[in-house]
Amino acid sequence: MSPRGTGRTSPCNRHEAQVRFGHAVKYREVAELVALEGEEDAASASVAGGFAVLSGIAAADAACCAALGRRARGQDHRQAVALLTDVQPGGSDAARHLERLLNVKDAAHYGVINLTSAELRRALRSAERLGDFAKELLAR
Amino acid sequence: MDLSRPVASVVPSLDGDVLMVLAGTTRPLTGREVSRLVRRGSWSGVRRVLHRLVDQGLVTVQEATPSLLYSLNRDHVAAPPVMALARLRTEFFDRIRDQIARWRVAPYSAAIFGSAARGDGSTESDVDVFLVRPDAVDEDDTEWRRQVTELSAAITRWSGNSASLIEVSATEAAGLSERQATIAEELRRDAVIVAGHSLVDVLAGGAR
Repeated sequence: MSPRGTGRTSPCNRHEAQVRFGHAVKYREVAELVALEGEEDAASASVAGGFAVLSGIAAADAACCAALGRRARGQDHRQAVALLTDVQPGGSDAARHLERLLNVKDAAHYGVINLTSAELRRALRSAERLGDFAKELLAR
Repeated sequence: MDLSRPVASVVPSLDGDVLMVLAGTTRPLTGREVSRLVRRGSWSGVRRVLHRLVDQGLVTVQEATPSLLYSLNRDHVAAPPVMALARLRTEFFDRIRDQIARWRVAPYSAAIFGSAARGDGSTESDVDVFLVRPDAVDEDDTEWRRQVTELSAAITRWSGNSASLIEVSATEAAGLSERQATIAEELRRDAVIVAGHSLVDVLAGGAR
């Protein structure tokens, strides 16, 4: 049973948190490498940004599993934003970073206009913050 | 200090673990959820602790048939020290950050890694520190050595744990992935940056 009926969530444990954290780390590594090696290539910004978004979503899952034993399910990742704000301390900041990533998700994954370098920098920073947040929760 | 359960240095019983779980969220949790998140003790033990804390008023309980939902009462006079206990690990890392931020010879990067970063150590575990020295700074530089020695001593004073330092130059760090792939992978995954460049940059040679 979900204590708050604010959308679909499912229970998850520490092991699943570690698995999702591993995904977050690898997605971010790929995002950083594509960003580093493709500075001259406009399409790279969208691809790197797309991996940053996936990294942030995975880190949010890891954080929620570690602190709440529950993660958002379904296609609407906004549910994860609401869930993250329940984590203390730092959940609201983490939720803002996830929201920023979700705002560029469609453009990065399906858009016909490439992300700008400023949008990519912000996406990488948000993915990093979410990764650090999940790491901190997993170490608690 | 056991950095996987810093609260145990003050409250070694199951009460400390239950309080840390409840301090970690504003979302009311069922007793079973608290028990799962605590990761030690039995369900009946956790339930006893919850009842005791409810009696003290430090935990509130609400009915959501068929379950009871528990939350930390953040208005209780004892809530601020509980929240402070929940921040012990963050406080320890912040002190390391603050100390390095005052260094006259700044590192390229500094990170905590190993069990202290993963939170799976014990009171016996060293605090592993990965220090990347700028190429322009000689490893025998007097000021650099003084800073490193002071940091090592401070870590022991703050936590009771010994510091174990791995120090490399920026150029050596860039070659680490080829020479010591396992350590590089561990750093990428677990390390908590406390100063300077991200390890993804440092290990890729992008920070030089």
